[in-house]
Amino acid sequence: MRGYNSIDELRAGLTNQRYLVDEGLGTVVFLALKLGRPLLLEGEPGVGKTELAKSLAAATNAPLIRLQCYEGIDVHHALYDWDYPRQLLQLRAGGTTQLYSAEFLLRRPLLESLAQPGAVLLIDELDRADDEFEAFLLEFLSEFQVTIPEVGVIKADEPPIVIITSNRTRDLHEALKRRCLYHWIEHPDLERELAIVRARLPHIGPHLASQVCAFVQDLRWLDLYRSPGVGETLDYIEGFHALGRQQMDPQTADQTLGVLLKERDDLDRIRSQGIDKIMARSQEQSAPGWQGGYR
Amino acid sequence: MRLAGAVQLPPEESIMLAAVQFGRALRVGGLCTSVDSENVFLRALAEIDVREATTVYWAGHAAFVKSPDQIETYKIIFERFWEGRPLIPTARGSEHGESDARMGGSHHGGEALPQFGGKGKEKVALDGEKTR
Repeated sequence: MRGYNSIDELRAGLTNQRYLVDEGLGTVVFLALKLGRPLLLEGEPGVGKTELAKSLAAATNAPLIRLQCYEGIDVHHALYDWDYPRQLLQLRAGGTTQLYSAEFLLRRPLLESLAQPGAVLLIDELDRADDEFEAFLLEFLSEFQVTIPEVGVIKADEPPIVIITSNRTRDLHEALKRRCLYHWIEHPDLERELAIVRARLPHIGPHLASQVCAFVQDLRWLDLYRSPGVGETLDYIEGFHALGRQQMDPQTADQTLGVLLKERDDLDRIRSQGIDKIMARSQEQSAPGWQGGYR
Repeated sequence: MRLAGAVQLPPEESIMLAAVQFGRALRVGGLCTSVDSENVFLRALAEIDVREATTVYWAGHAAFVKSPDQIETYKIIFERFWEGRPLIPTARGSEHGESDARMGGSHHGGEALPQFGGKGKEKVALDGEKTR
């Protein structure tokens, strides 16, 4: 089974890919592999949903096939299309090959995932797609087969590992959820976020890493329009590093705040509170012996 | 109060009974659990160490929870499930075996399940902190 016989083995395999999973996520990913069920991951943007699929593909030595969803996506973008230019050339050349046969089929991500045994299929941001496309996915996820009228039924020899992500901009259908294992990914706590930074950015000094992580943890308690995710934390730290800073200072924190916060209202709010004050508070709360937790 | 006869069942059947009861309790608690979810939970239990509370917790979470607003309900009912306490709190908050009219069959209301974890094992709180 994809080389992993226990939850701990799988977690170690993902850690080798510099993706740290807690026990909950490790268990659900293990079960998705074992049971062959699609895994629906929800959570705020930036918590690492997409990254998990990439890391899992690397950890299982499987190809990653990604279907990015968007409003208006349809079967021709997701499943297959016909290679019309090649069909025209065939007609002009007077060839005898059937025009509507597998030879002229363009495999889109869903079909491609059936052709590559054991692939990891990432269906990213499904909440962006229309209801009709979600309904179409139901059949695909149930049978792992597709029917192309001119070609016939195409079924996977080995079903893909399916990871579906959603940012919950809308509720997905119950029918689709029933076909999936489910996990809600939270923002990591300070300790875990530091561990992620250490794994992802080993060249960053511990002082800068702990300062920025504590600062970001504090921001997440402020009920911002869009809380920064781990991805933003990593970018923010890289920003300090690129500017040659070994530690966080209020001026650089202000100048690069746009790396962390992407909404004008959030930026104004943090600046009006005073970045230096937030920094001081976050350092105090992350200090050893602090018992109060984050507000 | 324990399910009549449950302790005499073979371990596999005892686990199956507990898992189905757990699914039903979650349904009463407001989660839209289906027979399919219960099947997934049972299949998941076959793949993990059922004596580990946190692993069973996350297996059930993967099978039954479908949105973040269901997590708290799931957590509360799981705690009762694991500790062998009555799964369905009654209207008066009593835990002495009163029936809940919404549950069908003979085993409902304040009925408790057999302890799910191994005897003598340390209990593991849901936050991961181990206690004796």
